[in-house]
Amino acid sequence: MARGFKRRGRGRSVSYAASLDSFERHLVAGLLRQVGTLLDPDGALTRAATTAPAAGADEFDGIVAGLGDLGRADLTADAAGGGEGPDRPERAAYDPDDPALQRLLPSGNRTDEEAATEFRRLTEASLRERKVTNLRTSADLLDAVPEADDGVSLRPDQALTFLVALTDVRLVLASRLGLETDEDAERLHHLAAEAEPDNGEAQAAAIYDFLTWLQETLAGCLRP
Amino acid sequence: MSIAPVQEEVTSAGVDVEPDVPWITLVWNDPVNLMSYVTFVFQSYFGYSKSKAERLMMDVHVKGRAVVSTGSREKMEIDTEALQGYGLWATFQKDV
Repeated sequence: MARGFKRRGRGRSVSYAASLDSFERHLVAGLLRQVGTLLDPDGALTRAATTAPAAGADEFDGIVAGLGDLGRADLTADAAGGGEGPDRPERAAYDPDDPALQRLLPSGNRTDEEAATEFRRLTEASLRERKVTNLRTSADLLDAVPEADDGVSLRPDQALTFLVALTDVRLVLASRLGLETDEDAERLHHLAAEAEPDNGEAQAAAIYDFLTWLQETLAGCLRP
Repeated sequence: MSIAPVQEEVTSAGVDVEPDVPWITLVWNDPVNLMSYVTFVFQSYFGYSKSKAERLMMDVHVKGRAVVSTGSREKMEIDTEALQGYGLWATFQKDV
């Protein structure tokens, strides 16, 4: 059973410690990498190549890429083992029209389209790069914990990186789950409570709830 | 960085010189970002006090948006980019 983050120690030796078992770590690391891939499909933005998804998280590999398409016929055929659907590419190309990407990299100006375009031209590449670095660094931190261990202990700078990366994962999951209003958040919360193994949306909602809880514990103890 | 339109107006308008209209950075409400996280970001990025950060966070939450900084266009673009880096829904515009 996971335990949320708590601050340990003081001064220079302060750290932020949580307890996540290997399944939970692989799940979160896998999602962090999936969002990194969404922002950087060909791995061009960071020198460190994306490592293979961690074992044990395979069943969740498709969450970020496929959740928005849960109802689509070709995916249903895939899930049923039918080979008639169009082959999906290994990795989707970078798609700036993807609503999740639009939320990660929103327009910078709502009143002046020209200013918004100029802002995007100046900032988008570095924003994407920073986010991808945060996401992959955070996944690496989780993957570095020994398999049999449950303790995740982060230095303050690592805790901040992880906190921000969790935000991006939650933003993407929320977008895939159609979470747009505070009422939607309530609905998702109820959906998560009824999660059944064969309901992809309910499972994703439960994962979203888990990440929300984890981030809340970290935001609550991290000192600005 | 680009030249701010404020400066363009001052140099090109000649007769009709506007007062120096400041620019603003806005943060918009979204159902994902946690109240504790938004407060944390306002404190750590701007160095705002906890009470000011919480007041701004509540404005975002209740009113749908809040002006979180004012100043030159260039500074507001820097703030917007930084806040978007934190995952907040931030925009900049001329204060009207």
